[in-house]
Amino acid sequence: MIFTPVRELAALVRSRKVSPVELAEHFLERLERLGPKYNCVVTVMRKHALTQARRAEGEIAAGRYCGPLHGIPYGAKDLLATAGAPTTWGAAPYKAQHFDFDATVIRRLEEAGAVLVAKLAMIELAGGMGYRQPTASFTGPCVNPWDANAWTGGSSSGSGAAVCSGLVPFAIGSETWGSILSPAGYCGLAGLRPTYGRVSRHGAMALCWSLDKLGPLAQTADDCGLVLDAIAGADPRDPTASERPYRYETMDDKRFRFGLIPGVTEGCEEAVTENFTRSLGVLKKIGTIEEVTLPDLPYEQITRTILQVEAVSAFEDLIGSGGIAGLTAPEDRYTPYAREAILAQDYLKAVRLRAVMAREIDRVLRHFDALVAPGRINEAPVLGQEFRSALRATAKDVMGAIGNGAGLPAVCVPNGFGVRGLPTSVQFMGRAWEENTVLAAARAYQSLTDWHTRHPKVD
Amino acid sequence: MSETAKPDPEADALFEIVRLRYGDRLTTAQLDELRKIVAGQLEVARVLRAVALTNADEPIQPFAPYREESPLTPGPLTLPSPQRGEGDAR
Repeated sequence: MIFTPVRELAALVRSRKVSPVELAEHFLERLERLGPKYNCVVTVMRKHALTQARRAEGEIAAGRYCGPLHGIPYGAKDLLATAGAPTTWGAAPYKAQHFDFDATVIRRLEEAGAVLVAKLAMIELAGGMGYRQPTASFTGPCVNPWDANAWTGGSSSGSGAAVCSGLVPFAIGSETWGSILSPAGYCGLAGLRPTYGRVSRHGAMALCWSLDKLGPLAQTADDCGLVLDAIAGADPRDPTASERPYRYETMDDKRFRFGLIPGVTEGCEEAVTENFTRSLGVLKKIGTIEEVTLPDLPYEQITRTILQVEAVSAFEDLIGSGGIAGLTAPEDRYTPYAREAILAQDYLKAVRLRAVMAREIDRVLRHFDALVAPGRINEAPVLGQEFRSALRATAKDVMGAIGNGAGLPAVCVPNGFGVRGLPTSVQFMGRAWEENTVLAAARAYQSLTDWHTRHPKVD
Repeated sequence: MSETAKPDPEADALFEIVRLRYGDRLTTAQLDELRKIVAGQLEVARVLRAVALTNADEPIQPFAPYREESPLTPGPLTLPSPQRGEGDAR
C-alpha cells in the first residue's frame, strides 16, 4: 500500500477491500520503524489514530462514506495545533508546548474522515529566523529518502520525507516562502501552495500573517486537489480565510496556455535546465508556451522585507527575552536582532509595492493558465553543509518571491533526476484562486510522464 | 566591517540600534556578522526606496473595523496563548 496515491487508496477503502484500521496500523508501523531513519517524525499519534480509524471503519460499514479522505492516514507539520499532543514548532524553546484545541485544518481533515497518524518534523519556527543549514531543528535534520547524505529541503522537511518514504499517503505543510515547494521538489513529490486565504491559518504557528499558507504534499497533483477540497474554506477564526467557495475539479482534456519567463533557468544546475527543457517539450503536447516579460519590480526585495519584519514581530517575545539563544542553528540565535534595524518606512514601502506587484502580475497572468519554471534550481543540498552558501550567490527565486508576495497558487511535480540521482521538478504558478487550473496542468503533465511513479528504496 | 568597505553612516547608525539594544548578549563575532546583515538589509531597502510611488499607491488592506456581534460571535479571532508544560525550556 505504500506509494499508492490517495485516490487509489480511497477506492480500496470505499469498496472495503482495505479497512481504515488496517491502513492506520500499516502506516503506524512504518512510522515507528522507519521514522527514525529519516528523522522526520516528532510524535507518532498511535492511540489517537486508531480511535479515528475505528470510527471511520464503523461509519463506512454503516454506509456513511464521507469521501476520498475517509479512513486515509496523514501527517501534519508540527506547527499545527493538536489537542492531546505537543506542538513544538520544531524549536527547543517550544518542545513541551501544548494547545487545548485543534487547528482548523486538523479539524476539517477529521470531518473528512482522515486519520492523523503523526506530527512531522520541521525547521525551527518554519525557518523565519534566517537559518542557513539543514540541522536547524531541535529534532535534527531530515534525511532525504533518495540519498542518506542529502537533505529534504524545508521548512516542511518532515512532511516531505514522510510522504517520500511512504510513511504517510499525504501530509500537510506550510509555506511562507518556499516551504512546501522546496521539500516537494527535493523529494520528488507533488506539493501545492494554495492561494493566500484559501486555507484557514487558525491554529497554525504564525510566522508572517500576510504570507503564511497551508497546503498538501502527496504522491500526485491529483491527490493534492483531493486534500485541498477538504481543507479549503472560510473560517470565522481566521479573518483572512476567503469565503470564495472551492471544490476540486479535474478539468480533464483542457488545453493550456503557458507563460515562460526568459532566463528562468539562469543559475540552475545543468541537469535542472536539461530536465526543464525536456518538460517544455512535454507541455507543448498539452498547450502552447509563450515567452512573457515581467514588469521591472524588485520582487525579491519586496517579499523578503515583509517576511523579515513580520517574522520578528510575530516572535518579539522570544527575541526580546533572549529566548532565541535556545534555538538550534547558531545563526538563528542572533540573526533576528538585525531585523529590528529595518525601518518602518521601508517595510511600508514594501507593503505598498506589494500591491503594485499583485496588480501587475495579475495583468500578466490573466493571459495564461500558468507560468512554468523549474521547481528548484538544484538537486537537494548535502546534509552538513550550509545550503545557502551551497547555492550560487547570484541565484534568484523570482517565482517564489512573486508567488508568495502576491499570494498566488503553485504546484510542483517531479520532472526527472539530476547527476546525484536526486529528483528535479517543474512548477506551475497561476492567478489567484486558480488552484484547479494549475492542478489540471500538473495532472496533464503527470499523465504524460512517469516520474511520479518512481520511488526510493526505503525498507 | 571589512577594511575595503566604503563608510556608510546610515548602515552604521542602524547597526548601532542593534548593538545598543542587544550588544550585551552577543559575542564580538556575532556583532560582526550582524553588522554585515544590517548592511545587506539597507541595500535591500535602498532598492525599494528607488521605486517611485504615488499618493494613491496604498497597501492591499487587511484591516477592517471590528464590532462584536453578540451572541453570534463564534469565538476569539486570535490564537489563544499556548499552555506551557513543565518541560518547557523557556
